[in-house]
Order: sequence, then C-alpha cells, then structure tokens
Amino acid sequence: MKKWSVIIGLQFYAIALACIQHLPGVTTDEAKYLLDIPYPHPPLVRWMLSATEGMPSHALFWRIVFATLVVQAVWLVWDMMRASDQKSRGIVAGLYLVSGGVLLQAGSIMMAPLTAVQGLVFCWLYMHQDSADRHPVRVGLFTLASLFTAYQIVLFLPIIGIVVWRMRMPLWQKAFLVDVPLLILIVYTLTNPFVIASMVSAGSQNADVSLLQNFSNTFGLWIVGGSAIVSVYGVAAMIRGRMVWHAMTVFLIALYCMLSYRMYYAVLFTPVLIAALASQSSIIHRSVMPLCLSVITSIVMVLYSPFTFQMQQYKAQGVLRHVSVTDGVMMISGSFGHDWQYYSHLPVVRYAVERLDDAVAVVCLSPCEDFDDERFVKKENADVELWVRKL
Amino acid sequence: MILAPKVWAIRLLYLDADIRSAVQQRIIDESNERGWLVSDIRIDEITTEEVHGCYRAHIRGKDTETCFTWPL
Repeated sequence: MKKWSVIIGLQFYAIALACIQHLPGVTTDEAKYLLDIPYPHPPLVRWMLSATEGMPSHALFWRIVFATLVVQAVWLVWDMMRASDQKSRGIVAGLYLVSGGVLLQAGSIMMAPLTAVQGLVFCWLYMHQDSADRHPVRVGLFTLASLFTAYQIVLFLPIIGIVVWRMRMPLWQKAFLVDVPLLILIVYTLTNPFVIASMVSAGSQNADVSLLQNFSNTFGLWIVGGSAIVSVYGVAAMIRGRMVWHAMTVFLIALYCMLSYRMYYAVLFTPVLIAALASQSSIIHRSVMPLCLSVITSIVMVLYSPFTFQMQQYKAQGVLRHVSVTDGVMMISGSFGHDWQYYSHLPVVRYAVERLDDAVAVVCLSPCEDFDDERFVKKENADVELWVRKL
Repeated sequence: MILAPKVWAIRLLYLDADIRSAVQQRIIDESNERGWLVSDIRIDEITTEEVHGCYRAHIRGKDTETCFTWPL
C-alpha cells in the first residue's frame, strides 16, 4: 500500500514537471523529434513520436511519458541500494529526484533524458550483474534500442562494456552483444549523410570558443546535472570506491560536452553521479543535510538557470492560430525553427517573392522583401507580421 | 541486410570528393530555389551524373512527398 502511494506521488511529480515544460510550447528541437525529421539521432524513438502525431495533446502526452520514465527510474536508484538502510536509500533517491537533470529536463521531449534513463539502467546492471547474466538477449536488445534512441549512449560504453565483459558467456558472444548493435548503427548512419553532416557541424561548433570557456560550460553542466551536491558527492564516491568505469564515463561525457556544448546535456551526468553515490552511500553518513542543500540549489537553479524550463515565449503556436486555410504552402521569411512546422497544418517553405503564387500565408520574421500585399490581408492581432491570402 | 543496399546506392558520396561537393552544392542550390528546408530532403541514390532523392514536407498530419532527380 505504501509503495503504491509513493508510485502515485511520483507520478504526480512527473505530470507536474511535464505540465511546466509544456507551458511555453514545443521547442524547435522537440518538434524535430515529434515530426520524425531525420537528423541527428537514429529513428527508434522519433518514429514512435511521429507515428502518434495525429492524437490530441500529442506533445503533452509524450512529455508525460518521458517525465514518467525519468522520475519512476528512481526505483532503479532505490534498488541499487538493496544493502543500505531505508534512510540512506530515501536520501539518495530524494537526491536523484531533486537533481537539476531530473527537475529541469524530465518533461522535455528530448533524447538526452531518455539516454540518461538508459544509462541509469546500465549502471543498475553494473551493480546487479546477476540480472545481466540471466538475460543476455535482453541486454543485447536493450543496447541496440539505446543506440537507436540517441548516439550519446556511446558515452556510457565504459559501463556497458564492463557489464557485458563480466557476463558469463564465451568471448565471441560478448563481442556480438556490443559489436553487432554498434555495427548496425554505423551502417544506418551511412545511409543518412545528413546525420554525418550535422555531427561534423556539431563537433566543430565550439571551435571558436576558448578552452577556458569550454571548461566553464562543461563545469556548469556537471553542476546542474547533480544540483552541485550530487555532482560533488558522486565524484567523491567514485574516488572512494575506485569506480574507474564510472569515472571514465563522466570523463567521456565531459569531453563530449566540451566538443559539442548543449545545455540539455546536463542530464547525462545525473545517472553516473547518482549511481556512484548509491554504491557508496555511507559517504553521506545518513545525514539529510545533503538532501536539504540539494533542494536549495535546485530552487536556485530553477530561478536562475539560463535554460530553466525555457520560459521564453515561443511564437509559432500563437501566430499559426490565425491561419485557417487548408490548401497551399506557408512561407516564412527569416530564421525559423522546426516548431513552425509542428504547429502549421500547411507545408512550410522559405519566403521568396517569385514563389508567392503558391503561398496562402506569409510570416515575416524578418522583412519580406518586395512583398506584394494586394493579394494578402494582414492579421493585425498576430504577434509577428502575418499575411493571409484574400479569399 | 536492409540497410546495406541503401549505403551502396549512395557510396559515391563517401568515395568521391568531387561528387560529394557537387551533391552538396546541388542540394543547396535546389533547396534555395524551392524554399525547401535541407532537413526535409532525403538522398536515395547517387550516380556520377545524377542525384535521386525525395523531399518530405514535415508537418503535424500527413506529410507530402515529392521525389526528384537532379543532374550533377
């Protein structure tokens, strides 16, 4: 009965996080996944998202699913600490739930939170090797599914590798479990040159950023991922427990963040840090102080973090409510994100005056040069300059 | 097994730098001319003379798809 109450309470927490993330609308990155736009990640999850795009409250539904997975994954943390007392388990589970990674990203429709959950599963398998030994096929399929969710799961390869290495099976089977999913992913990647192009672009985007700034950015992600408290305790636990594979994973995540900084990568640190702390929970001496401090740092992050719930107003949803025509294309002048495609029921193309005959709606995010306004009527109450073809 | 023929069909993109650069330029030119987003374009086959692919207008609902053959 008590366990069910906790599950229901956690579910309310997940729904609350999802609803808060939903307030400003769908972001360009989220729209990319929701519409199954084929870059930069493999297709497994974005295909599922796109297959359900006809359902009402599509984005909110998936926010709740993602938030549920991230929040209810706390049971893995709980189970990692089978040998610990209830109080320590509760503190570490609480630290996970209020960590910046969970609090700020659980309700976003991004691949990073899912990768974090998958990483947490591998950390759990690391601590319960018997489960991996009993279900080698499931481990292989889960590795394949994780690789086809997002490329970032390769950052967890030190932990995945050691889990598979310790499994009781012939060497060739161990190699098969890791190498075949990786090989399939490589072949898939070669079928989609735009993925490679976006990887090259993402990998070189920090080329102009100074090394010090790169360190500072990555340090910030590490702090946010563990709400500072888990960040510090997690690393201390790795040192104390000589957790080489966890340390290598944190190093790879940090290196990756330095090459391709995105604020939403903070959540990738969370599972490794919390897993290290769970395995060395005596480090917190059954004190609730770290949890209290973590709540405080999380509140500060929610209030001051530059990516807190992305509260800036997304214009696409509001603007496109004014467009009711169903045939033709919508043209947009200026830079725009995939959120415009998500909220539009018309195909979206870039503005050019010579293609104006095809357009039934024109959005001028930047000045629409040579725009012929005789055939269009301006929607005065839209947030941006919006023209709709006269009937 | 399903993916290998797809890689084979676009192998020239990886093997020939001139073709790679020609394909890149063709995609940029054509997408500028049509107002297409590059992320909506899929490349299916590349020969020394042509690039075959499809453009899918991603929206919430049924996407329209237009396939093309462009000379290189």
